[in-house]
Amino acid sequence: MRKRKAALVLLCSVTLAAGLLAGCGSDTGGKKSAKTDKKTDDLSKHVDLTLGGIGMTDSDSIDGWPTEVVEKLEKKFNVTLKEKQYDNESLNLDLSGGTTTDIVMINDDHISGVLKGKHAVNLEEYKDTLAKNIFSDNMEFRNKIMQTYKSDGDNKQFFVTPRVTFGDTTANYGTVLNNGYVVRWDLYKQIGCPEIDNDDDYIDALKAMKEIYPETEDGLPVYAMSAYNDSQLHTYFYKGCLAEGFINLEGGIYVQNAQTNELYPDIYDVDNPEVLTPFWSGVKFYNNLYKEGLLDPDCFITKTEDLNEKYTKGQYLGGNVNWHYGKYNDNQRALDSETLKEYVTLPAKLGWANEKNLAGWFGKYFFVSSHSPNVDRAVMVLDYLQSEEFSRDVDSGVEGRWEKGEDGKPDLTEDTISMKTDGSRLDEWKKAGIGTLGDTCGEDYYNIASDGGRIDLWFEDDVLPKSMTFAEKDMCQTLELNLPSDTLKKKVEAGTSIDLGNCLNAIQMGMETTPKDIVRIDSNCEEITMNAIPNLVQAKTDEEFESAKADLMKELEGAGVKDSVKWWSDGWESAKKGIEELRK
Amino acid sequence: MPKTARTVRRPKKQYKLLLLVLPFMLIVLLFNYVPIFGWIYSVYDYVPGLPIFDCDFVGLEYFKMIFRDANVLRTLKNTAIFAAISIILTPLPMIFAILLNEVKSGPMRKFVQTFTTLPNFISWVIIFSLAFALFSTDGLLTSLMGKAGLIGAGKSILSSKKSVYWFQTFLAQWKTLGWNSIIYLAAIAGIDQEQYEAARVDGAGYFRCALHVTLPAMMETYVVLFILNIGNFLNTGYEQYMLFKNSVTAPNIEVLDLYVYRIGLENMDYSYGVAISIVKSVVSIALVAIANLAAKRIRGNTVI
Repeated sequence: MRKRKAALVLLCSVTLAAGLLAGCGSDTGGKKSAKTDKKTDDLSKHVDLTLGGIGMTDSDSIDGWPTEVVEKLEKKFNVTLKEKQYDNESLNLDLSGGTTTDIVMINDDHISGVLKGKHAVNLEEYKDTLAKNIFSDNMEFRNKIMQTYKSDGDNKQFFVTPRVTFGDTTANYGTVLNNGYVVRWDLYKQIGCPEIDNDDDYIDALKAMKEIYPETEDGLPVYAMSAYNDSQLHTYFYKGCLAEGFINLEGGIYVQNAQTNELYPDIYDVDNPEVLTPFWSGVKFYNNLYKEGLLDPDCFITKTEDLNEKYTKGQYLGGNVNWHYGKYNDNQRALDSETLKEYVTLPAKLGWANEKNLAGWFGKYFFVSSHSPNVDRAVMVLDYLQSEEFSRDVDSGVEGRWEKGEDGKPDLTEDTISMKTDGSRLDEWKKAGIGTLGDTCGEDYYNIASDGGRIDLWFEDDVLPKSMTFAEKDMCQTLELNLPSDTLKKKVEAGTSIDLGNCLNAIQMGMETTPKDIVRIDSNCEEITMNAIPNLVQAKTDEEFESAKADLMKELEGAGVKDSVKWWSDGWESAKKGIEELRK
Repeated sequence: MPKTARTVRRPKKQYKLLLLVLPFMLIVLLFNYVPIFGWIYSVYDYVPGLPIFDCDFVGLEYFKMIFRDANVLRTLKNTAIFAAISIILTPLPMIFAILLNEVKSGPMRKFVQTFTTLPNFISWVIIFSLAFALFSTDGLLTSLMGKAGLIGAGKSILSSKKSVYWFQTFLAQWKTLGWNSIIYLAAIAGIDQEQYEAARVDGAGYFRCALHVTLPAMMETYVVLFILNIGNFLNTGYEQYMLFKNSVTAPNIEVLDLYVYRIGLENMDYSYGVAISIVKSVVSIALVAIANLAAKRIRGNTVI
C-alpha cells in the first residue's frame, strides 16, 4: 500500500514537471532557413505561407477568411496563406529568434535591426525571374528610394512599400470627405448652412447647433467635441494640420507644409513665430471651445472607444474625422432610412485627399524573411501583392464582381454595388474580401490599370453617387452639388482649400534612422507637452494661455528640444535634396 | 538517540515532499532567476533583431543616464508616495479579518468574504470602465457628489491631479482587501478557542478578546507580510496607473514601473529599461535586508 502511494506521488510529480517543461520546448515555428541559389518558379509543392505585420489582423479573426481574393492567390501559388498580427514586442521577439513570418511588414523602428541582423532577402536577386512586378518601370522611383535610403549601404533592395501612386494618376475626392469640419447635417441645415472657412466660423456654427439641440432625446448632455487621449498628441496636431495645411510626421512633433514641403517643429515654434503650426492651432481651437463652454468636460480622460460611444449616443455635434462617428449614422438609418440625422464632413483648409504616394505609404515596409523555409515562394507571393491584378482584386473584388463592358472598360456589377449596402448580404460581402488586405497592395487606389479602369473601381465617377445615403443626397440637393466631396472641390478651385497634390511625402523616407538620444528627447518632449495640455486648453484668458505656453517652451528647452530641432532640420534638408534629385 | 523504525522512515518522507515542491521551484527558477541573464542587455546598446553580442558595448552608460534623468526622480517620488500610503494601510486587511471573524452568522460571513474577495479577480481594464461610468463628469457618483456639493460642476475625480494619490489607493484597497485578509483569517482559524473561553471567563468582551487574543496571535503573520511589503516598496505595478493615466493626472500617477514600461517597451529603449529595473531590484533587496534586520532587533526573529 505504501509502495503504491509512493509510486503515485512520484508519478504525479513527474507528470507535473513534464507538463511544465513541455511549454519550454521549441515550437514548430523554429524554422531553419532553406536558402536556395536556384530562383525557381516551381509550384508543384504545396506550402504554408505566413504574412505578418504591425497593425495587421490575424486571419483567424477575419470573417470570411480565406476570402475570394485569398483563395485566388492560394490557388495561383499553391499555398495556404495565413495572416498574423504583430505588435512591437512580439515582432522584436520573433526577429531575435529568427522566427518571423515568411513575409513581414515593419515600420522605421525596425529597419536597422532587420538590416544589421540580415533578416531580409535581397530582392534584386529575383529581379529578372520572380520579382517582375516589384521591379516594373512604374515602381522605379520607389525602388530607388528603397535602394538608397532603406538599404545596407550597398544599394541592394530589401523592402517594398504598398500603395504606390503612379505618375499619371489623377485622383478624385471620393463620395464623401473623411477629414474636415464634421457637423450634424439636420442641425446644420436648420441653422442655415453657414459658410465654414476657418475654426472661428466652425465654433460659431457649433454654438448655434448647440442652442437648438442642448441635449439628446434621452436627456444626455450634448457637447461640440471632445479629444481622444489614447493617441498621444494626435487629437491636437491632426486638427491643426487640417486647419493650417500641413501633414504630420510620426508623433506630430514635426510637421511638413503640404504646399512647400518645408519641415517645421510643431510644438517648439520659437524659431518660426510667423507660422501658426498645427499643434498650436489645434490647442487654441480646443481652448476656444472650452471658453465657449462647448468642450466635453471629460475631454482629458476620454479614450477612442469612449468617444465612439458618445458619438453613438448623439452627444457630440462636431469632430474632425469620420471614423469616430460610432454607430450613430447606422442606427439612425436603421430607424428611418430617410433620416437627415447624420454626421457629415465639410472641408477644412486641407482636404486630406489626392495624396501622391510616389514611393508608397510611409512607415510600411514589406520584406521576405531570410529565415523562411520557402523563400522563392514568398518572393513570388510578395511580387504578386505588388501587382495590378492583386490590387484590383482587393479593392474591387475578383473578376466576376466587376466585368468589362462593351467598350472594354471595367465596371463594378450592380450586384456588387448593392451587396455593399445590403445588410442581409453581410456574410457574402465579407467572403468577397473587398477591402481586406488593403494595406498590402502595391498599387494605389486611383492608379489607372492596363484595362483603362481605376484599380479601385469604387472611385469611378459613375459609381461615386451610387453609395450616397439619403442625408448625403439631401446635402447635395441643398448645397447644389453632385457629391458631398464637391464641397472640397469647389474650395480648391476657389483657392480657399488645398489638397495633397503638391505634397512630397516621400521625403520622410529619405530621413536617416533617428538616433536613440534624439528619440529619447522627442519622447520626453511629447510627454512634457501632454502634461501641459490641461493648462493650455483650460486657460481662461489669452494671457493665461501665453503664460502656459511660455512655461512649456522653457520645459522643452530643459529637455534638450534644441538638439532635436537641429537634427531634424538638418536631416530634412538633406533628405529633401536627395529625394528631389532622385525624382529628376 | 537509538534508531527506531520511525527515524529510519523520515528521510524517505522528506524526499517525497521535495519532489512535490520541485515543479514550483522550477517555475520560480524559470520566471524569476533565468530572466536575470537579461541583465546583460543593460551594458549593450541592444537593437532588436541583432544578436546581443553584435550590439555596441556601452558599459555603465545607461546606469549613469538614470542619475541624469529627471523623470526617474519624479516617478520615484510618486512610487514612494503610493508605497508609503500602502504600508500605512497594511493593518487594514488584518482589521477587516478581525471584524469579519466577529460576524457570527455563517452564511453572512461567507457572503461578505466572497463579495470582498471577488474584486481581486476583476481585471483593471474592467475596473477602469466601471470607474469611468461612475466617476466621469456625467458619471452616476459624480452627479450625486455634485448634488451633495462635494464636487464642482464639470469636474471629475478621474481628471483631478490632487485626487490621484488617495483615489488610486482607494481603488487598490477595494480590489485587494478581501484577498489580503484571507491569510489573516487563516491565522485566526488557528487560534486555540480555549484562549477565548478563558478571556470571557475573565470578563473580556468582543473588543478585549480581539485586542488581547486575536491581535497578538496575528502579529507574526503581520510582521512577515510587512517585511515582504517593504521589499515590494518599488514594485507598485503599472497596469492600474497606465489605465488611469491622462494628461491631467500624468505628473502624479506615473510610477517607476510605468515609466520603465513606457521607455522600455513603448519607446523600445530596452537597454535603459533593464538598467532601471536592475537598480530597482538591488534597492528592493536592500530594503528587505534592512527590514529583516529591524525585525530581528525588535522582535528577536527574522523572516529570511
